[in-house]
Amino acid sequence: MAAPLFFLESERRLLERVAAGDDRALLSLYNANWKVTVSYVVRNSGTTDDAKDLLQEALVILWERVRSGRFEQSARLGTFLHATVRNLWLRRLAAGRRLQPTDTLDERAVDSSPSPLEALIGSEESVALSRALDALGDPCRSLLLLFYWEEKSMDEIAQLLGFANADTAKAKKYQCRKALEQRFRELTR
Amino acid sequence: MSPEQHPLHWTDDADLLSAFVLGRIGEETGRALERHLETCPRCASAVQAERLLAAGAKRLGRERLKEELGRRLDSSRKPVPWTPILSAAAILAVALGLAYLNRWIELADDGVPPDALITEQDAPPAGTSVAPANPPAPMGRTGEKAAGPEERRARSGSPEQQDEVKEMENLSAGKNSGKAEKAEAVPPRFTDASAGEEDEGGEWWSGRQVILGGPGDSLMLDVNPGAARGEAGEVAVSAAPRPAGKFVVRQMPVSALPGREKAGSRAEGKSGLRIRVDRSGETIILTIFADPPFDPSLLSCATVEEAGTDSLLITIGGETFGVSPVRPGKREK
Repeated sequence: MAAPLFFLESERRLLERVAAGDDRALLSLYNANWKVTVSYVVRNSGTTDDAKDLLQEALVILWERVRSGRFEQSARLGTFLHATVRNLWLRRLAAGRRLQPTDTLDERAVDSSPSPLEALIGSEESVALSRALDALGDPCRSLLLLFYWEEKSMDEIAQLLGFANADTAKAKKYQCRKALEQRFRELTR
Repeated sequence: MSPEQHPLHWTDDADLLSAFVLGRIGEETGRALERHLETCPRCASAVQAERLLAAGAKRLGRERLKEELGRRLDSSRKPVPWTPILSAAAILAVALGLAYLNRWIELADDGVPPDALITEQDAPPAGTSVAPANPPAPMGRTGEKAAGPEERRARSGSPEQQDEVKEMENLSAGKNSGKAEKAEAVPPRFTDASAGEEDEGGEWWSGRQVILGGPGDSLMLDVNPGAARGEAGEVAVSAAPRPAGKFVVRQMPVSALPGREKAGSRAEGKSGLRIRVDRSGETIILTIFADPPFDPSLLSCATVEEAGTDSLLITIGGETFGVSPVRPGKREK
């Protein structure tokens, strides 16, 4: 059996692949954590479809954090993913009141204080806005996703999308925001 | 600009506004801004609008990534249809495979009669035993239908076997003769490597699913979900992987393994693969014994790389397996 440090070193390489945009790394993580996830979710009033959905969502959250530079690895990736799955599932159970009499909902385990931004992601308004953004098409869609989802800097965005410099990208972002507001108003009229 | 420079409406600063909404500012500054929001409806409205934009973008980004992830997972886990599919080209390709397989079995010393090997479409449901009687021929590389017993008997005989072996080599090399015209000839995936050895008989290899590191990494970590918790296998490589030359990948059910290899496979558990490696001139023929089996359509897109002096990396449908000889340096006769 390899020493624990070896695991963290290899996971660091896995995270580097995620940071570089290699989504095959997510597939590897999915396969490695599938059994644990389905076991937990099914034991707690869920189905295998629920487990599949939750694990995918947890991986997306991991991807988001790594790509935005916010992820700090303090434990094994499996531990992070399991904790995320657990939080997501308990939140769903609490929202849908699917608890069985023998189940307990440990309030401490539920991420009961998501940020205002995170809380807004599930709202109907953000659904409508995401549709409006999708309908914008490129380059505005890519620019705004890079800025707000992947949290790239204007310099990085300019390089990725082929703008002359950060100021040009910033001016384009302003135009895209206006276009998005217009599209959003049309969709929600 | 900081809130102090915009005492009334700090949200006029788009950069500061975005940084606040995305949580990219210091704690102290954030608290100061929040205190201002409690008394300034204009700034509160600007923050809410920016938050909505960020929330919509994050939602769209997550949905798209989740869809892509789901598509890749679905394509890598497509169930294999075990019901027979008839085609003349499939029968011919399988007959060629049987001719080659018969030569392989003659070289093996495990005492398993040729008739014990079964094909994919005749595999029994999981949990049932394999009946040695009435075994069809092994599968070709694209999952074509097997030949029946009568066809196998009709094709027996050394001259025909030699023709069929040559036909199989031609198929793997991308050439297409008249006899195999209905078979799906797949060109080799890589350019030729160094000249291959003379075929002295096949070898048994085994391996496990691995996660690859970056280019030039010297170790890979085994994280197959079937492995026991905390178990880590390593496939040592001496150099960065490189294409392995011409190869053919096919599969058979684990139940078709000869007795000794079946015991070895059981010892490795579900995380292990058992592979029969044969060489025909410059072509490597890999027969994978795996349960659950791979979608046959993925085998034609498989990649094989040499990972050192005695290891191969086989990638099928997004999963990579590191494999090495069961008894390195020794060939089975």
